[in-house]
Amino acid sequence: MSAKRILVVDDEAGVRELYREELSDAGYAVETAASAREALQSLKGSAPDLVTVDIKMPEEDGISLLREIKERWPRLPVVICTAYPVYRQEFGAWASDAYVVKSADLGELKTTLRAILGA
Amino acid sequence: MNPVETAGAEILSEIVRIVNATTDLEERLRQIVDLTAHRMGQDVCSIFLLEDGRLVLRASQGLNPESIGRVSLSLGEGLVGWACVHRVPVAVDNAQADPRFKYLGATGEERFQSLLTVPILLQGECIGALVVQTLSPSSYTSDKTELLTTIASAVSGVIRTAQLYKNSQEQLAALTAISEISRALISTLDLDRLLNLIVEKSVNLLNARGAILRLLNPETQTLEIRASYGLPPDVARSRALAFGEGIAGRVAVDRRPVRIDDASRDPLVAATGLFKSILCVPLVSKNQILGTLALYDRGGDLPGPFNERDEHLLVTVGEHIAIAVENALAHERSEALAEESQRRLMELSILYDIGQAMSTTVDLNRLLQIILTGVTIGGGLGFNRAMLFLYDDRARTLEGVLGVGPRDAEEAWSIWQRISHVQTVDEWAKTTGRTAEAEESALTKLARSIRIRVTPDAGVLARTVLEAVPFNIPDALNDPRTNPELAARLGTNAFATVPLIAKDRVMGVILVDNLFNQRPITEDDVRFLMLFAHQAGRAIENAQAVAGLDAARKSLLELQDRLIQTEKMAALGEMAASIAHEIRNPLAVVGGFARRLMARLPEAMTAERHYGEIIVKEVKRLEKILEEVLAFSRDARPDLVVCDVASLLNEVLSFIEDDCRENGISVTADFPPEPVYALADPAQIKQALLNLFTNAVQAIRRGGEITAHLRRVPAPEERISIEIADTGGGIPNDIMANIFNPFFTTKAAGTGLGLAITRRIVVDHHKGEIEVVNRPGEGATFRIHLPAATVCPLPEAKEDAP
Repeated sequence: MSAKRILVVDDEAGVRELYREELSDAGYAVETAASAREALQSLKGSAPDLVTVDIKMPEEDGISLLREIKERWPRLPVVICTAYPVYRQEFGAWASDAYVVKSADLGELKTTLRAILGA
Repeated sequence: MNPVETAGAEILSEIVRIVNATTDLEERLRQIVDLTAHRMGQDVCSIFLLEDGRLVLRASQGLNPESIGRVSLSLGEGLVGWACVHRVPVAVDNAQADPRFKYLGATGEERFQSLLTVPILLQGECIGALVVQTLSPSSYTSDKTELLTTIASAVSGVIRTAQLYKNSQEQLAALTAISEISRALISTLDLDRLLNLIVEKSVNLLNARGAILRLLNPETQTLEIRASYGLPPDVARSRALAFGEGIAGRVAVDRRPVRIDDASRDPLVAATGLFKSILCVPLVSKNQILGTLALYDRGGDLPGPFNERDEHLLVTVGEHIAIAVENALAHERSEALAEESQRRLMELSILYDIGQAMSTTVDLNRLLQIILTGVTIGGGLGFNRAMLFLYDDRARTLEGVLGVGPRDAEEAWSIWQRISHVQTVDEWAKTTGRTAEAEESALTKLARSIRIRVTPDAGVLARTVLEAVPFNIPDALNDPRTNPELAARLGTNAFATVPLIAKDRVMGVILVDNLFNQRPITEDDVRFLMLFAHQAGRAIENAQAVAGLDAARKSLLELQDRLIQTEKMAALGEMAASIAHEIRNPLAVVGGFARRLMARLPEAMTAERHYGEIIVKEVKRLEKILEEVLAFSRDARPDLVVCDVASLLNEVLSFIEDDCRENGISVTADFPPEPVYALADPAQIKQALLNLFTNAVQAIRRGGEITAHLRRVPAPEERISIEIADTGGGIPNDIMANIFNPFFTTKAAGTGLGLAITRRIVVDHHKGEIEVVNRPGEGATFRIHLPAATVCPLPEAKEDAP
């Protein structure tokens, strides 16, 4: 069984780098995108098994991207990965499949991914 | 014409000449007797006139002139008297031989022999006699008798004329007197002056020696002496008479004059022993009895009792007097009315002045002082002392707040001296600002020592409040309405109270007295004080309303302050949030790679691993701080659902379990077996509880106990009570007031947001309450109350649960 593919969308290079390494170590095939535009291009190529999106990004923000993904690939799971804990209620239950607050400890994110992807 | 007729005609024409030549009766009679004696060739001619039943010699030619006016005969006495009684002439040749002859020694008539006398008749009545006599015996013919009879009828005419003249003279005199009195009566409208004039002029009119004028007092229905003349002062001041009492009383009842010769019938006058006769007339105007006028003893040229003419004159004058007295009384009444209006104007101006003074302030204490000063100042109501009591209608008590007035008579004197130049209260208010003086006065202290419960049997002060009416107590010691203790404390036996009323509500009482000058408090004083109290009541109400507004304004300002503070905190929170977000990403990256680094370091590199651990730990701490700061930002709106607080508590306890075990802290949970439902945001409640538990752990540090109680308080409170107690030594008293403030912390590494967040979650987001029971030296107990959920969670929610 090939590794599950995850697309990490974040405007900060440090975050993309950390996620790529951590999630690769956890056994996922990780791709990254630095913006919503890049993310959509990547999705048109070949769809991953899950996408993580940051909320606050320059140009198009994560919320619009989330809506667009859910419109075009309704079955693709999207996890919000953000520094803002306050929107948990609003977005967590609404459009995304999970809402994870960014932390140096990626334990919560990995637990969430496992729960969704069943790996 | 026969000789007699001729002689008669001549004599008559002579008599007409005599009558025209003089007006004096005596002179006329003298000339007539001269003429008759001469013309008839007689030695003597005399005229006797009937006066008071006696025939008095009034004129004579030939008899001793000294005897004129002195000699008299009774009717029937002597030849003259006989002629008068029988109304016929008598002629005797030898008079002394006639048995009817009466010798009149003083006249020297013994020398005369013959006598002829004829009666003088006037309208059929005999009014006297005409007599002729001769020295030598002679006989009187019928001619001579006829001639003398003719002369006698002429004399009768002369006397008649004289009487008419005298009557008209008397009437003229009376009219002159009346007109003089009338002039006097209209010369003044001043009642007392008028009454004195009346007695004086009446006494002059009738030549009386004394007079008393009484007027009816309509209130007492008695006749009071208002003016007198010629009476000793004790008589003039003697008591009033009732209707029907004494002579004046009888005159007033009968409205008819009384004329008596014996004054002993009037005991008042008899007691003086001064007078014998009385003439008393009623004074009646417009059919109303006004009084009586009594005159005593006729004097002058006709001394003795008053006659009918006097009575008639006084009755006539009395009518004029009565009108004048009536006018003066009316004038006095209108004067009194004018005085009353003047007084009311004065009152209004005083009220206006005090009103002006009261309008200068809305400060209640100052206002109360102005009110009491208005009551006591000379230009105001002028009482000696005043005290003000305010009524608390919730507690139903009346309490003294202020007293204005001198401490003793000496101070009263010095104050009156000092303020005598002050014209009005308004001036006073503008020139004085010494509230403190009244604040500290002995009378204020006395007033403040008086506090009574307002019940119907508590005395006058209480009744003033309950009945909202004034009380005037002239004799407190003997007045069953007063509480003797109050009078004793006030040190006065006479005082008055009036209610202070505003909008039909009694708000207090003003008590006044005149302790120092002992001036009695009149009903008028009380009425005026009442007017004033109404005005004062309104002013106090205004001041209280202003004070209320002031308080409301203050609390608004405070509220505004708090809002600004909240705004500041919110702005700070927002700023903190935005910084926190910016930091969070790089922090996550730093922390994340530190962990990776740690994972790759070989076991042997202990120092490097230690450094890595420090980075990881510090990042963790920073993230926790960010978490708290962000939780404090305003966007953390609660998502209220029905949840079981017991399970939330258990979750939180599981978070701190490890910490407690490591530090030797035992945790006791005292929860009911069934779920305890509340309408709450589970995440927020967990956050709030976690903060409290974390604080407890940090307070204890090592070795101690944390106890968590949970229970549901049933209706009517219908709430959930959570208690978290620790043995951490409690909170120092000096910081108790600050523990809920944001960013307040006692910890070396704390944001100071823990309790602030907990309070915001409990109080602001859940409408609950939080309180601290601090036991310094032992520990602290935090108690949270949350509204209980009145419904259970939906069954679907339970089915969804794993």
